[in-house]
Amino acid sequence: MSCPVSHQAMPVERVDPLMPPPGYAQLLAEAPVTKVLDLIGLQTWLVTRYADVRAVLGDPRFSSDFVAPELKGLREEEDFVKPFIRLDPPEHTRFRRALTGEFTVRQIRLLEPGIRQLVEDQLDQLEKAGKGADLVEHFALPIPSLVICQLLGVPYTDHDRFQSDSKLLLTRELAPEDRMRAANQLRDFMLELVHLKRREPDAALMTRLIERSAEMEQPFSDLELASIGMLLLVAGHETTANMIALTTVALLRQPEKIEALRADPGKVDAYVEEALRLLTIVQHGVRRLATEDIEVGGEVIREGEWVIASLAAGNRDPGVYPEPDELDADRKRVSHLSFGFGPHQCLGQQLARVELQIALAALFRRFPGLRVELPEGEEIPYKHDMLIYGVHSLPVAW
Amino acid sequence: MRVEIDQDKCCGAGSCVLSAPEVFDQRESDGIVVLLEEEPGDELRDAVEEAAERCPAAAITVLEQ
Repeated sequence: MSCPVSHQAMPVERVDPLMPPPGYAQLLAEAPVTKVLDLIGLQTWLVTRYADVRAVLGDPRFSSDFVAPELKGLREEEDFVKPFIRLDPPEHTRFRRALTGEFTVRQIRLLEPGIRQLVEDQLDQLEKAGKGADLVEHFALPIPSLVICQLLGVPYTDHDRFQSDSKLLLTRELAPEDRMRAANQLRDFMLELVHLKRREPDAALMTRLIERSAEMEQPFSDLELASIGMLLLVAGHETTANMIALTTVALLRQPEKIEALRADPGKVDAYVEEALRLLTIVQHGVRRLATEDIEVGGEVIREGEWVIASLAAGNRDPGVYPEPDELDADRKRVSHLSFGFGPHQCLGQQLARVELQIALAALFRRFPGLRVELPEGEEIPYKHDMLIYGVHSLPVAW
Repeated sequence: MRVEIDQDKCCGAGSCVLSAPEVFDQRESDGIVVLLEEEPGDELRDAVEEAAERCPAAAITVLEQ
């Protein structure tokens, strides 16, 4: 049976800013695998159930190897290297395996003392900035930016150069030329870094990667090294920054949860997993391209068709999570989809977890009376306009 | 219970080490899964099953004996 053209738009309007668009609950119940018009107007299958999201993202026949449709035509420059999240195995494996050793549970644990210190320093900064200070500017953004800079060996004094371009890259509606310009500037920034580390090796990740690459069967070119650096830099700071700020907003709505967390800080990991699940900042899901006809949840997705796996919907699948909208730190541990699934699942997830756990526990320990303090008549500026959800700013007091 | 791993499938996400550190580790060089205990005791069943469920690459198989 061929599927008719869909005029149904993908759910995008939120009613409650801390909940996914209500359309997803309906799709989960009534049409878990269905055709929609996606955000850029393409006919796309939208997959919402937990099991189906895992089936799509875990199946290599759903390819990641495509140029994002919104960039078609622009990305034909000769020296353009696709980020490795846009490759399939085995090409993807060449990149991933060169990096996994850097992000193991053990490696990340070694970073914990440094992160703790850095979090305390940022809390001092926030306190000094005084009441009404922006939590994003003084806490949520600098922590992961500093961590990824230290890890990669990027001088933090350059943070203005990469933070503004990263933000542009993640803006939903942006002229393709502007997106390309931001990408090219970031690439040049990372190329400079690669050249610097070749001249002056240090103890950080980019230097180790250059050394490891030299021993590989097919060593990375400088452009490939720069593309790895770019991906780690962008993915490493924007996502975690948004999670720190958005989790703060979510917890402030439920002060009893903050009390419980303060009483039992050892459970911070369970709170973080629930926050990751409920807030799912990769708000519009993950795109794949079918390379053959594949059945998912009773529907046949045809070769050449687009699929979006909705992480946010799968994370609230009532068949998997009883009372899916509740933040329940005692919930039976089921994995969530916020880091994706399959061979592309977030490489930096253990680092993100540690940063979130340390930052959130420390924030509520230092400021038990933390509250949102908006100027009169203003509302929290949620990131409806971005690919990664969060808040643009969050004025707080204590 | 017997545990099998597939190092070719493994993508080094580290979920198994969080779920069942007594049974799984990651190679220092490339983060790929290492099996510490092929036949873990029953007290580790929940942890091992959680590890298998969470593995993004379906690289862990739990076999009954």
